[in-house]
Amino acid sequence: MTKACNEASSQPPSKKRKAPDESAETAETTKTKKAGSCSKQAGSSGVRRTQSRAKLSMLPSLSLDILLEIFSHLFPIDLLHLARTTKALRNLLMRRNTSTVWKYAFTQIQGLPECPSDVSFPAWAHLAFKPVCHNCYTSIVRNISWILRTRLCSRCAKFCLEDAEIFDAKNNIDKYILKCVPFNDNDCRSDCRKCCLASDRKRFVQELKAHRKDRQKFVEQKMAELAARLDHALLCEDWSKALANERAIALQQIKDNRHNAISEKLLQLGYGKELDFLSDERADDVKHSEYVPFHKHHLVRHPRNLTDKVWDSIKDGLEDYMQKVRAYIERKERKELIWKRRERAALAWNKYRNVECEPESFLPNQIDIWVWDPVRDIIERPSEAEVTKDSFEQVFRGLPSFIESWQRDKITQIVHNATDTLKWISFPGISDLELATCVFTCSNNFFHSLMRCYEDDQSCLMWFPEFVHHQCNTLMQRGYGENDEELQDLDSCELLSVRSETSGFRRRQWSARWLFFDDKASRTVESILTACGMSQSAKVQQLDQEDPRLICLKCSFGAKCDGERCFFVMTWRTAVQHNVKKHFGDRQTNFQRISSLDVGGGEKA
Amino acid sequence: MIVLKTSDNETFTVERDVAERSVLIKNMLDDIGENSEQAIPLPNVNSSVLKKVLEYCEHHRGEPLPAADADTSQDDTRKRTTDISEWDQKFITVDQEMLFEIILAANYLDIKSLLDVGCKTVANMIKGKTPEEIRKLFNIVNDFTPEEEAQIKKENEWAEDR
Repeated sequence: MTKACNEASSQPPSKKRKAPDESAETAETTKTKKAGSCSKQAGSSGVRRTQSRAKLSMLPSLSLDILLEIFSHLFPIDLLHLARTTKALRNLLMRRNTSTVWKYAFTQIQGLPECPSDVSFPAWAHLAFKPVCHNCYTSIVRNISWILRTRLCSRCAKFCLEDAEIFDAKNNIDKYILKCVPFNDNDCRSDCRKCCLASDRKRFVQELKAHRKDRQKFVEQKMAELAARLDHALLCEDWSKALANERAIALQQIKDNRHNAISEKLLQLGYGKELDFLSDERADDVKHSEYVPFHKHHLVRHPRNLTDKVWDSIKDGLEDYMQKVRAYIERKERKELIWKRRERAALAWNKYRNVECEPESFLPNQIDIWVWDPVRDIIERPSEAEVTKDSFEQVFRGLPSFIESWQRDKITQIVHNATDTLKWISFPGISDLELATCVFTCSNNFFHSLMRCYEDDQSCLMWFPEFVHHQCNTLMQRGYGENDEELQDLDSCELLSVRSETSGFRRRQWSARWLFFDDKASRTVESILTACGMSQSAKVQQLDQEDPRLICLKCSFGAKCDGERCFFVMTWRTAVQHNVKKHFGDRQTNFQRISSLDVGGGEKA
Repeated sequence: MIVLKTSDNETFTVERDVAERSVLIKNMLDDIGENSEQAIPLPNVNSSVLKKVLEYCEHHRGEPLPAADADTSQDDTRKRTTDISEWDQKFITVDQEMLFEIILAANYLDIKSLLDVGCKTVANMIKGKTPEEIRKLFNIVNDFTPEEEAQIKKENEWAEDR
């Protein structure tokens, strides 16, 4: 193809196809030239350049055949929108002579039932495709009432709809309304009752009044129309549901494609292990607060195809996310390894205890062993180091001295508890724990009730060595929350289960946090020792050996046992319980020790 | 070879089968006879637009031309799709001014396939847009008053029925 300048001109050739109107063309050319010069002037401004390039402002003035050619490629909703752009286009598109264009546009909508004969094409497009309330024209309404041929927001539905119940089937007019006016289950309101459009009802009543002479014929015609409308509405419902379903599937497909494309990209970046992990978590429906699941991540579930540009914009965000997941996996794997090592340490400890220790010894449990430094050091060795049961057995040579110091430490803890409780008296020391006057109670009544370790009329009173071995010192309810232990996540550890003792409880790191010195019980014992003529420094063992029988002089108002009256004879421990329960631990309560001869005739409690 | 003369007096020498993509030119050539060396005047097309149009004709030379009495059902199928081939899409990626000129030229020169590409492109630009977006895109002035604009949203009946 060659190009050359030639100043000659000639007549325009004849045309077979209709050419654009010449005068219009001249006008258009003038506009174009003006706009062209404007374009040059506005070269430095991006915004103005965009406007100057928008030369289809002449669109409405294009020749009709070109416009119809363009319109033939549009959907009904596009025609509706075009008809709302300018007066010229509205004037063109809202006339019956363009109904072919509209009809054509509707043929492009697969499956949509034909536009009813009593509805205009624009109105049909408005109903089917414009998700706006047909009363206020502002609220977005996606649900279409095909039988009422309207969309209503819940607010407008309140006054645009009339309940079927307000019509009386025996009333002369109402009975026709119920038969001839379209009613629909109103899903705009919560009650879902049958409703009709007030405007439909009014129109019908007017028409009915106008047909006084041929009312029967008119009603029959309306009923036939309603039946056809119902059938048509059902077809529309089906189309609507199928379309919604299709859209949902398409949306899901886009999401799936994006999910897969992002996974592929991340795989290429070396996040294969993390993706597998996230996929397994999805299958198991794992929920935790560390991060959102991959498929729920806002950058992943966004319903938009992944282009290179989109990937560039989301790549950093997703890499941060994957790094978070990677760190989580590392922490999780490390934690699992630590627990495996703890399990081996517990097995080694159980073996050692069964072989080396006396059955009733005051011994640490596996948690106390796990936090013993030599064992902790082995457990916390780097992940790549191998740790077996033997690794622990080697350091267990130091266990005897550890157990000894551990016992001392715990006993000291009990003494501290007693000293803290009784700041006003001087509590001597460890050796005095065996005194009969050294009485402890446990404040954890909740656990006692769960473990059912005391009768209703019993107080929790403990003497040496019971308080050392008290259950609350070594057990706790799973998920109880008051965790004062050195290790975390013990609640989920199956190794610590104590099912044989109390269900729902687990072993805990030894603690005397609930033990308190019972001052009232201690003074009661002092009173008992006085009654028995024993030293105040008598030990529990001595008092048990003496095993005195006692009567409460507070109950007898000071009267002593004289062989005439009936008395309740008690052991010394029962006497302490009696004073604490019955006399609220009264310090003035005195006891009388009765002789073995008197005991013979009495009832031992 | 055929000589074409544009409205701005530029001449283009093209091969006959390229020029004959235009039904208008083909008919003129039939009228004036094969041996005429006379330049064919195209007063409604300027040189920049004709250059573009001839680029299209050159690319599509040899392809079968749609019959003048094309079957209606075939025509329907053509219209139903707004898909444009990759080359055509690239070809028609021009500013709106040129797009408009190409459509007018294709209509004038009677190049049905080019007119189709141009119209489909405009249709694709309109599709899915709100009235305001369409106005903005094509730089169309809104000649409705706010009251009229509110009213037209409610009026969906034929003008004749209102």
